[in-house]
Amino acid sequence: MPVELDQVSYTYAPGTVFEAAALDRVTVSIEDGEFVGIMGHTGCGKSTMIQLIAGLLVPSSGKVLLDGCDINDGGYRRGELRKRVGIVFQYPEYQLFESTVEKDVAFGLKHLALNSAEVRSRVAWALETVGLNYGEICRESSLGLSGGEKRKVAIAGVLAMKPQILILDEPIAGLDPVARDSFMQLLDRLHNGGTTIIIVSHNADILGDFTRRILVLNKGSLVMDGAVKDVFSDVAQMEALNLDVSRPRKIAHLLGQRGVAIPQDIVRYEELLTALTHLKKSGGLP
Amino acid sequence: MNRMPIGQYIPGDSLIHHLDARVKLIAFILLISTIILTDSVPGYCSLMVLTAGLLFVSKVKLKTALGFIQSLFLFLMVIFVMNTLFFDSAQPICSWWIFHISLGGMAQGANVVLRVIFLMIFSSVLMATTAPMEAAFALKSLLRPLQYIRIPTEDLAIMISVAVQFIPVLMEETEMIRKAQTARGAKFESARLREKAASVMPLVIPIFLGAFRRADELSLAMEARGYRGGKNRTQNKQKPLRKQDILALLTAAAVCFIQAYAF
Ligand SMILES: Nc1ncnc2c1ncn2[C@@H]1O[C@H](COP(=O)(O)OP(=O)(O)O)[C@@H](O)[C@H]1O
Ligand SMILES: [Mg+2]
Repeated sequence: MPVELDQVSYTYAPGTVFEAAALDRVTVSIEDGEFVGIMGHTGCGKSTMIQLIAGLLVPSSGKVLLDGCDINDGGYRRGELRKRVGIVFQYPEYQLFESTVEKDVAFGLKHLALNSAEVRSRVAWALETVGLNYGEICRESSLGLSGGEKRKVAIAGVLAMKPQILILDEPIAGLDPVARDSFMQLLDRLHNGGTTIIIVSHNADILGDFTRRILVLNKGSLVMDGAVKDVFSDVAQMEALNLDVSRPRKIAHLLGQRGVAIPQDIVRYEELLTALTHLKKSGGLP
Repeated sequence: MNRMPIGQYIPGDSLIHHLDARVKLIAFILLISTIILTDSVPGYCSLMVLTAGLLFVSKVKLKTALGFIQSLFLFLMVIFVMNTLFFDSAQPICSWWIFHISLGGMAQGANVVLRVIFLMIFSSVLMATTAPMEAAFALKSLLRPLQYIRIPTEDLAIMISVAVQFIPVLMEETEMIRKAQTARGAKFESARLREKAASVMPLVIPIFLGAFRRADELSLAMEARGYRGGKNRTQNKQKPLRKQDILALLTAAAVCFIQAYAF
């Protein structure tokens, strides 16, 4: 089920003094099962773009197509959209409100016409997937959990809908390294299970490790779109956009500048290590 | 989705924007008394002229000033109809059971509705031209005399200015939570009353929790920086009134006076 943006523009509060053009004629297409990262300086329109994909904002002009159908066309069923596209905002834990974890995770399922056994098995599956023990936690109050657990419960609430497209807005900001890695592993498992993942992040290392493709936004326009190694290959442009490339890529870049003959399409640490070992063997390193 | 919120400050460069907020508050009170004193056709005509002048000088668009009409329309209609039907009058045009439609009742209904409309227009102009923090400071200085009857005006002022500063933050958070719950399947836009009612909790509970969380953090931060209740705090220096402020105040008073006696 591909997502397509066709010349999509979005302006906040048009016709008032608060008018702000946030997205300018963005055209992009994301295929089924892709793992896409979105990067860009703060205020460049990343959140706006993903909310347009999730149908939470309606484009000022242009079309958002899901499976070839315009999601803002009157005939498109909202319920269908909510089932297919899940979105996790930056502090998902703030959206919890039910008296128990189980009810919170099941919130979205109410609209799916499932029987109670199905609901329970989905809730159990979602909680186990994010690494919580269903039996232990389902009767607890979601508001009494620790911050990290709350975030997991909130994400389980989105996963329980079994979205085919999962969108995440800066989900790893503020997580410690262990939590961050286990979170990314979780996304990787979902991706291997066939879910399309679109993630907004400033963390180039993480994007380099997990995503296959990166979109770069600048001032509302899509300025780069390609495989991770291609986008990171242009270190100068990324720096001009105030963005990081992954650290292994940066190291390779600096070595290259000092005359070391190291390949310039390195993105991850393993690749860097392989290249360095190779160089050492062939005597390319002092 | 992207409605302009009612009563929002719109930065601008007009004469009214630059007036002292204290003057604007007092002038506003004077104008409200003017509205209440008005109940004749010429009176409303002159109020209309006054409003046009005010909108012209303040450069507030009529659309902004009348932004409330949509949400108050039903309320205004009900007031008008109730007055028309139930006003006790000596000569009803027609009567049926407990209903008496009379000219007097219609006039009374029109009176109330017109007053509400003018009141809302003037407050829209006030809010559109006065930055919330300025309004809070002005209120604080106007309330100061109440200290002498042991009303803790300093604490009140702090409360008001904190509340005012947090409005945009809370609005942003509300918007975010609304979107997050919509994505999870809440039906805020549903026409069905039952679904609409069911979607209140997912919005209200997180907003309250967020507000309490912020209040907690803020009180810690304030105490950490030495806040110990309102008494004996350093005062913000009040700017003296300028010529145009005094002129504006006199104009408002004159308008009130003329309106009260002429019509
Ligand atoms: N609710 C809003 N009202 C007005 N302007 C907004 C609103 N949300 C975002 N903007 C503006 O739109 C632009 C893009 O914002 P956003 O998509 O949140 O950027 P990012 O997520 O990349 O930081 C910014 O300039 C921001 O100021
Ligand atoms: Mg953002």
